[in-house]
Amino acid sequence: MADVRLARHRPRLFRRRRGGAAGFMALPALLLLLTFIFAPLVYTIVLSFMHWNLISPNRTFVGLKNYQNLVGTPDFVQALLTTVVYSGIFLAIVVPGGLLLAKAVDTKRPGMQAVRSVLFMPYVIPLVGSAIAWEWVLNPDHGVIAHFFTLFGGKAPDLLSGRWTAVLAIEIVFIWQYIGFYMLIFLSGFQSLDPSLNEAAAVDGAASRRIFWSIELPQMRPVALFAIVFATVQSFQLFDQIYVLTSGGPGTSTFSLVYFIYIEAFKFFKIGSAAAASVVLMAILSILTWGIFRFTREKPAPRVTT
Amino acid sequence: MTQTPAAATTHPRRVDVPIVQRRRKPSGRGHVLRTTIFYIIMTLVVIGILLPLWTMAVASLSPVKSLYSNHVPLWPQSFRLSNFVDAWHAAPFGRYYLNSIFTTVAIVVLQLITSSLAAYAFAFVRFKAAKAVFGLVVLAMFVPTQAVFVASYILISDYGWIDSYQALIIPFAASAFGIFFLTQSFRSFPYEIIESGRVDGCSHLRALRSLVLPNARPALATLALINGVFHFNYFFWPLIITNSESHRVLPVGLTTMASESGGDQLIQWNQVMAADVFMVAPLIVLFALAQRVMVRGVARVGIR
Repeated sequence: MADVRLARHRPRLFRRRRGGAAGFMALPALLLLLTFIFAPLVYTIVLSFMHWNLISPNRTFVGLKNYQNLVGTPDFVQALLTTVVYSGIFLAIVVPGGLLLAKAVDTKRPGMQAVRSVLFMPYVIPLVGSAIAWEWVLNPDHGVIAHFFTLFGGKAPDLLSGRWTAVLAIEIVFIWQYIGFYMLIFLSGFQSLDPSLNEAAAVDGAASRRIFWSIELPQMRPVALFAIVFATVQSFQLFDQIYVLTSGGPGTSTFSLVYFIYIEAFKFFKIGSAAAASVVLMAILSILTWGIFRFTREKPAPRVTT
Repeated sequence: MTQTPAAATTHPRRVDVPIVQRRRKPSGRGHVLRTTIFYIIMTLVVIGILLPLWTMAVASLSPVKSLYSNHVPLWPQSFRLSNFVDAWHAAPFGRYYLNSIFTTVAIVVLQLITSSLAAYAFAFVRFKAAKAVFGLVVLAMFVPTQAVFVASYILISDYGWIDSYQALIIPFAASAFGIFFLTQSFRSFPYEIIESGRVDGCSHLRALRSLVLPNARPALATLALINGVFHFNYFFWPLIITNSESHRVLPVGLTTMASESGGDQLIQWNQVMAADVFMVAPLIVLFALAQRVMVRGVARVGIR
């Protein structure tokens, strides 16, 4: 038996050597990705069928029970809904906003270079750093917005104490952080366009508004698609801002899915339930990503040709 | 995504065809009005972006009393630089800094090594199942890390790595994005040069080190910077995987300090903001110095 296997193996080894043993150069990275991305991925799915409290040695197989329980958990349903709201508002503002800002800073008007830098700057600032800075801005008694309200004889609303106002506050900080990133994505899109098309249209007497709508915008489709997918994936993983600004509160009303999973796993030690929620999150993201590409008939895998 | 740089370069950037009828230069009152509105909107946007950073800086320089008074905190009532000293002593920030810098540098160095090795294999070596393996790397880019952290945590704790530097570094020693990014940039390097090097008896490792890498410096710098900033700022994983002060990194240390400030007394906003400056200022400085490299990286990600 061993001989047969060896005999079958030898020529393959030989061929591999000639074809390039250097393929093994990919091995360290590959093993690391398998260990720290794909193994947890599979393990998450396995754990989602288990009942386990992180400490006890007993894990029991419970089938789909974790998923069934999730549907009946108000906190989960609420977190899912809130996440959809976070994501929807984020997309609705950051994608068109990024596009418009890119168009605005792409002009030769003086000062736009500086505006571009300022807009992109928040992207490099740590999320917790900006969330803490915003906490001070939004402080209902002494923050700068509160002073602005008292200037007009009013009283500033305590955004972080109401359900939807707290969601709004988190959303503002989230958008503040990333709108410049999306501007830059669109800007690089605009700058990769072929200017001769615009010039040809201008010669034919098209107004600049018409050029924007009929010539530039259709060419921005792949860029916009990338932005939409990226923003969806990003917004479904919202966590840091919630942790700093509200700790999920008031109550559990600003929970995102990731925050729910975090609490479920590390406060209540319901590993199975947390894993099931993780699988739901992954499934949603996969379906959305696939759906967006499918719907627009664009290739799902990024092209590698250079 | 369908736009490849190769396709873009087949068209000259500017065409020097005499344009018969230039577009009429906009002029008159409508133009002035439009420009004014444009600048007002852009000014408001810029103010919106800078406001939290400005008020953070102001509060970090103010005495706490003035922050709890009627004084509008857009300018410090009086300067109090000792806030920074107080904040520095409120928590072991020196330790946090060292931890953050150490883990970030280690991650970036490891990622550069593993990514450039793998990218070389994908770009220049024909090996079995290369396509499938590369597909796996692309797939890894799409796995949302925030959705598998529970399992990651359990695996790491099975290794006995909870609250250690390994746990902060090793899971990120390879970067799917890094491999993808470098493969793309390596592919623009002429294969003939490697071939002739190979004929002269140069090993693949040697070819990578002395032929490919020196020419890929801009790409390496961009990758190091983008992933370095990401990991210096990364909060979530260090939050769950460390619990002692000695392994705490800056973002986690900052939130702990901020949430404990003042105890049951009033929050010392001036100290919290000074600590926030510790976190934010280095990144703004880095951004000012390396903006070009970062912008180039993000642009590449966008059009890829």
